Amino acid sequence: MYILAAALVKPSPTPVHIYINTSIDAWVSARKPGLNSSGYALEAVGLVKSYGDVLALRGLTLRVRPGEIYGLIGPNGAGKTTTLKIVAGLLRPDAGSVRIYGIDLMARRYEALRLIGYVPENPYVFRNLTVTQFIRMAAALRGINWHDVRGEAERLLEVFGLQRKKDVELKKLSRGMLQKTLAIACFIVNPKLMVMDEPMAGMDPEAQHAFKEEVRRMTREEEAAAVVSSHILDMVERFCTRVGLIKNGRLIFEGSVEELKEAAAAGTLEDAFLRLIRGGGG
Amino acid sequence: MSWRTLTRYVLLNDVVNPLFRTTSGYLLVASLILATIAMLAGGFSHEPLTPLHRLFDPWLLASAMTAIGGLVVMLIPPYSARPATYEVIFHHPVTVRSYAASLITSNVAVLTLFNIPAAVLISMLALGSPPAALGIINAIVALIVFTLLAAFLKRAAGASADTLLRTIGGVVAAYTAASIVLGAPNPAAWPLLPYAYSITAAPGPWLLVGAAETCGMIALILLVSGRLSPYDIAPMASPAPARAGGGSRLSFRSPRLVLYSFFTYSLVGPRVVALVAASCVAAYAAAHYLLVSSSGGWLLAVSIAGALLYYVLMIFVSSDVASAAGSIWFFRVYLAGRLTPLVDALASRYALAVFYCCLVNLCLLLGGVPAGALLLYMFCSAVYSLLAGYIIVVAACHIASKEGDVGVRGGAGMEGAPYIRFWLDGLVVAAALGMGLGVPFLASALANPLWLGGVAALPVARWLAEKVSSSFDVLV
Repeated sequence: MYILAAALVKPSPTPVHIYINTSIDAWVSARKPGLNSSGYALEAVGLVKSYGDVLALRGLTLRVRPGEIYGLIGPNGAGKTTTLKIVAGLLRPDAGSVRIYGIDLMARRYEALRLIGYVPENPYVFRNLTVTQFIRMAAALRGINWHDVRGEAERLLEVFGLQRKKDVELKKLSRGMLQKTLAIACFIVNPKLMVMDEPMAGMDPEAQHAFKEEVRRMTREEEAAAVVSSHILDMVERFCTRVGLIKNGRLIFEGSVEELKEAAAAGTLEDAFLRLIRGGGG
Repeated sequence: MSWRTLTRYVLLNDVVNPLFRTTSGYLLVASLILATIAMLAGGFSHEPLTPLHRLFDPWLLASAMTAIGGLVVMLIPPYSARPATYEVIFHHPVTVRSYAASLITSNVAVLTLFNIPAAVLISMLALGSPPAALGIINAIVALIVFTLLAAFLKRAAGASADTLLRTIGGVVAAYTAASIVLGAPNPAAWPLLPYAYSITAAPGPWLLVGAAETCGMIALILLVSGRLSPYDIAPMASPAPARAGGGSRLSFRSPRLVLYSFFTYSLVGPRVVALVAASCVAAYAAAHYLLVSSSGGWLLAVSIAGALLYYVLMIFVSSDVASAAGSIWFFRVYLAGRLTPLVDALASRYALAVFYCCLVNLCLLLGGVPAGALLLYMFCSAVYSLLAGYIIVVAACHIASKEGDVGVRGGAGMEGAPYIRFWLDGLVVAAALGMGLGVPFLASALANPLWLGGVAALPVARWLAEKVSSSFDVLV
């Protein structure tokens, strides 16, 4: 079931065995017929990306299945944001490929991006648009008729507590409210793959709860997949169905939270994370 | 996805919402309309100026409006060529062609709208009033002071740009209303003199501008033809491991987009202004014939021909006008990844201020200032602009450095040396300003034979104009 991946780990005072979950094949065989040829919502293989002399990704491979909430964790500068930006079509990898539900992102960009919803780490918006205008823009850029999703938008505004702010310009909103707006803009296009980089930064607890519930609903009812990067390990532990640990541009562990804790012989995700990161590798 | 969809929301963001969702926007629109009415009304008047009238001279009003127009554009910069824009739209299935089309449409709309006062001003100045140019200089000084004040007030008192706009807009509206109430008669129009001067003053695009515009044109063709992918125009991401939160930080280093920005600002914008200005001149000439002149149908023909000539010449003049702004824009975009947001924003705003500085030169040119004085002015303006730009940026850096807002991005290990970073940013911007301002000004004054030839021919042109104009019984 698991492949021993200790070779990836440099020698350390406390040897840690790291496992990569290969049970995906079992899932692939049980996938819904006709979904796509590979069965993965996201299949990023051998991603390499450098910025000048700095090698940010070193052959990273990531596979996410429909219905999964995949947590991407790792220290600062590990390559999480770079990975997510490549998946969202914002950066081109130096090497490797990305397929979204079997569609090659590089070769068929516009088809692939229609399936993606993206929440960036920094709340980049058109600041003079109102909340509603920004959400409408997100829908319009996907060719979605506003009248078809207006009711859903109203519901999401209500759920995230933005109903009274819907006609306020984005420049007047707090960071947390901007994140809520970006989350709604992501949900409103009914994505099949949600790519989210620190999506809950600045959100109040109520909004965080609403956000998680919405992602869970979409993965459950719509069979969408989500890739979420976060430094909030408690949240990852309770929210994500599978996690990947990145260090120095490599995926050094992939599996469920329980498997991660087991691999690191730790009681909590935080302890496991620290052990694996301090233990070298990558 | 249609480019019209993207353009619609870009225009909402850049033009409609800022103008029609804020008090300052309403005030500015109102004052824009009032100023245009006042200028046109003043242009038709033949009454001599009294001291009171002089205070509310339409030329001064036009100057103020130009300054305010510049300020508005600076405070509401178009969205193009900003790293954030890339992140906002390119994770959606948006084509480069749509992006390019929306950029062109929105930039032309923004520049046209906010340059209407400038266009009217140019039209009126084309009809001749040398003292007006002095008023414009004062307005430009006021503009720079406004910019300084804005930077200081925003930081010191926490005032928002909207508050500043509201205040300034209120002052302008009051000033405009007073101008109309008290009347703003203007000396008799001199429809022919500036045309004669324009003929001799055509500077012709010099090598750098021509090359840059050619590159810009190529970049535009590539963009509009859709032969580029979004990756080709993507900002370069650089790692910033020392920053809290980690992750990559986008900076704008795409050569194609730099060239495209250069094109948009140095080529499209000024030509739109020129077109509007030429239309105003033509309309004025026609109205002058129909309402004021009794000299005969030939005057109409000459006026319209002059207006057309003026437009053609403006195409060339605007190349030089745009060069300074374009140069600074070039440096701003190129260096954007190295500068802090505040300095970055100031640099872009100052680039547009330079545009208006260049208009002063144009006005002086059209106004018939003696060649020696013009050359002296050009030289002084180069030094003055450089110093003013440096003072603005360094002052802003100084304020910002106290708040930890100044730094070279991605500079691991630089966090503990705010003053080093402050001077780095200041020097980088100063160098950019020096290149952007000093070089074009001095180059156009010293290195352009066509331009120098035009200056040398000014006395001859003036003599010719006097002869021609006197035969029409028009005051020279």
